[in-house]
Amino acid sequence: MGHVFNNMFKISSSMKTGVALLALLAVFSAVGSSILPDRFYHLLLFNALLIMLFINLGLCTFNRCLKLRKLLAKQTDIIKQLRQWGLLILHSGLIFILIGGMINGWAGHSGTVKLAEGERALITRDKEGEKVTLFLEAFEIELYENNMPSQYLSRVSLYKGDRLEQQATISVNHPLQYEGIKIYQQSYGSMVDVTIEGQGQVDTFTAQEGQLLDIPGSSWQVKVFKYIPDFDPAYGMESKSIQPNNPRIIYSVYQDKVLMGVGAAPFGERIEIDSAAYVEFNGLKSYSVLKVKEDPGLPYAGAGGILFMLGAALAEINIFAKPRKSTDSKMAEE
Amino acid sequence: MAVLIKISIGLAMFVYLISGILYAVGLKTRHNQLFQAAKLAAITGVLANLTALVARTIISGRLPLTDGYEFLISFTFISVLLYLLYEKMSQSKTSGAVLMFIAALLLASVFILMPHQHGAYSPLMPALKSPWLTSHVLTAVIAYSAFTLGAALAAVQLVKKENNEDINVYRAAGGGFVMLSISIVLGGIWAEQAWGTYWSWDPKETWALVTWIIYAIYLHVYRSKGWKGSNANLMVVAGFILVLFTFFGVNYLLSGLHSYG
Ligand code: HEM
Repeated sequence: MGHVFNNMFKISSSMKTGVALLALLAVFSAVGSSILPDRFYHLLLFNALLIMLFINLGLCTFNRCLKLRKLLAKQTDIIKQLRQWGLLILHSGLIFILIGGMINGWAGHSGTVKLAEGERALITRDKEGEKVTLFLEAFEIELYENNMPSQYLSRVSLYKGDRLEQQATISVNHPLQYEGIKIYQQSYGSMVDVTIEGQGQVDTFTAQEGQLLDIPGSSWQVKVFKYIPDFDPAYGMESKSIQPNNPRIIYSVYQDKVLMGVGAAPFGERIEIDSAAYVEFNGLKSYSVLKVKEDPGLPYAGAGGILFMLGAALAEINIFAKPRKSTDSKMAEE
Repeated sequence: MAVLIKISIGLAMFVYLISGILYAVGLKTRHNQLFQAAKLAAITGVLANLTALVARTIISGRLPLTDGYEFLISFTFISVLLYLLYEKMSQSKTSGAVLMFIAALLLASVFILMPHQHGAYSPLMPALKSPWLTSHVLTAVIAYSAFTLGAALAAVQLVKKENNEDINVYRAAGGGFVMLSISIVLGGIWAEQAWGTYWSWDPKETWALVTWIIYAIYLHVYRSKGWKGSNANLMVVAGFILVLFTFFGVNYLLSGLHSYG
């Protein structure tokens, strides 16, 4: 029994097994990315492989840890000693990266929130169950001289309950950090303020692009199709620039679900659809799309990444050592 | 400036090709002057290549490390530079032909795939404005260049059925591996800051991982019995082909987060 166990340990901690697992991982990744690009990396098969690699790396590194003193004593050359340390650090780094990834898989989560200026969204609850909310004060797009976007900025306030905890500007590459939560600038969009009138009844909405609105008391419907900041018929549905030189709302009108017409309306114009059906686009509200992420594994993965870079550099430092012809073959044995 | 860049790259491509031919003929005839001339051509090419990089830096006001075009001309420049350093240190000229032909082909691909980009650059989109990105690309360029040198050395070893330079194949591939490892970690840090995910299995990341694994396997087995010599060298060549696929195949055939460059 003990001997079976011993053999199993030998196999599962051996470098040969590790190399075979690495080769499998390469094949699986390559094939998986071509046949199932979206789902493959969530498959049990693939994750089982990563866990096996993790176990193998763990055992192997543990073994080397035990042997480190002996290995170091054998080497008189400082570069070779550094190499032993490097190998240990490098493989430990990989273990930490895998741990970080697994923690993220089990306990991490992320989602997106859409916030218009002046809106508030629940981000999470803290340990005592108190609400953590995010309030968007302003959303801005900075432009280059040629009008291409250079940065997206969300000025936000973060509250715990009623207490203001943090005021910050979130922009691309500059996420906000708050107690294990990170909030990223992901995207943006616009919503349109619409007034709809049918049979004397007036409704107002803040509609998203693509939203279909019923006109009360009629069989008419209006779809708020797209906001175009710089409308030019020559550009069709594309905006000539992203500056609001000629803002229009592209809308379409339906009767009994049948498309009856399409138009490009300026703001503040009352459009007659039928004798008693009107629509008016009053204004625009831009919203910011923020990604909210909680990844308790991140510190492990980050530490692993740093250890790994450092270890790899130390382990391979011997490539700068001058090989003496006679020691070439010897070097190749270590 | 655009014209200057175009001419410099054209000149570099041309003299790399000449240099490759001179190295190849030199190998056949063993005339030392041919090697001297080949080296001179290579140095001329490196200077022209550098001129293009400097001009590009001046017109765009940032290091030439942000799109596919800039990557290619930096990659070629560092590859030839590394080769010249290697030649100086090792006094070995056998791999010069292969390396110079690869360099000429890389620059030819600039003319084929991106003929209008010499003076064209656009301001950086928000996600690309990060020092992590710059260091990520710089380390990737160095890694790819080291792999190119390693593959040229390995290919010559394979053809000549020798193994007197295996140690240098190891040094190039090992150095490239360290750089690629650093590059992948830096890329992860950048992606985490910009997109909120350090690893998202997009095609470029996946193929970079596959490349990285090939070299990791090489480093684990290159001195064990069945692998020493040709088999290990074959892996270094295969790794280089994967490097090219990760760059050209993924950028121009597949799409993903990295598809802008
Ligand atoms: C996941 C990816 C892995 C990477 C990137 C990696 C990387 C490396 C590198 C760069 C070296 C130095 C090789 C050299 O310069 O000669 C090395 C050595 C070594 N690795 Fe790994 N490794 C990985 C996985 C593993 C696994 C799974 C095992 C074992 C179970 C393992 C066991 C070893 C051992 C024992 C050495 C020392 C080899 C020697 O000194 O002869 N490695 N590894």
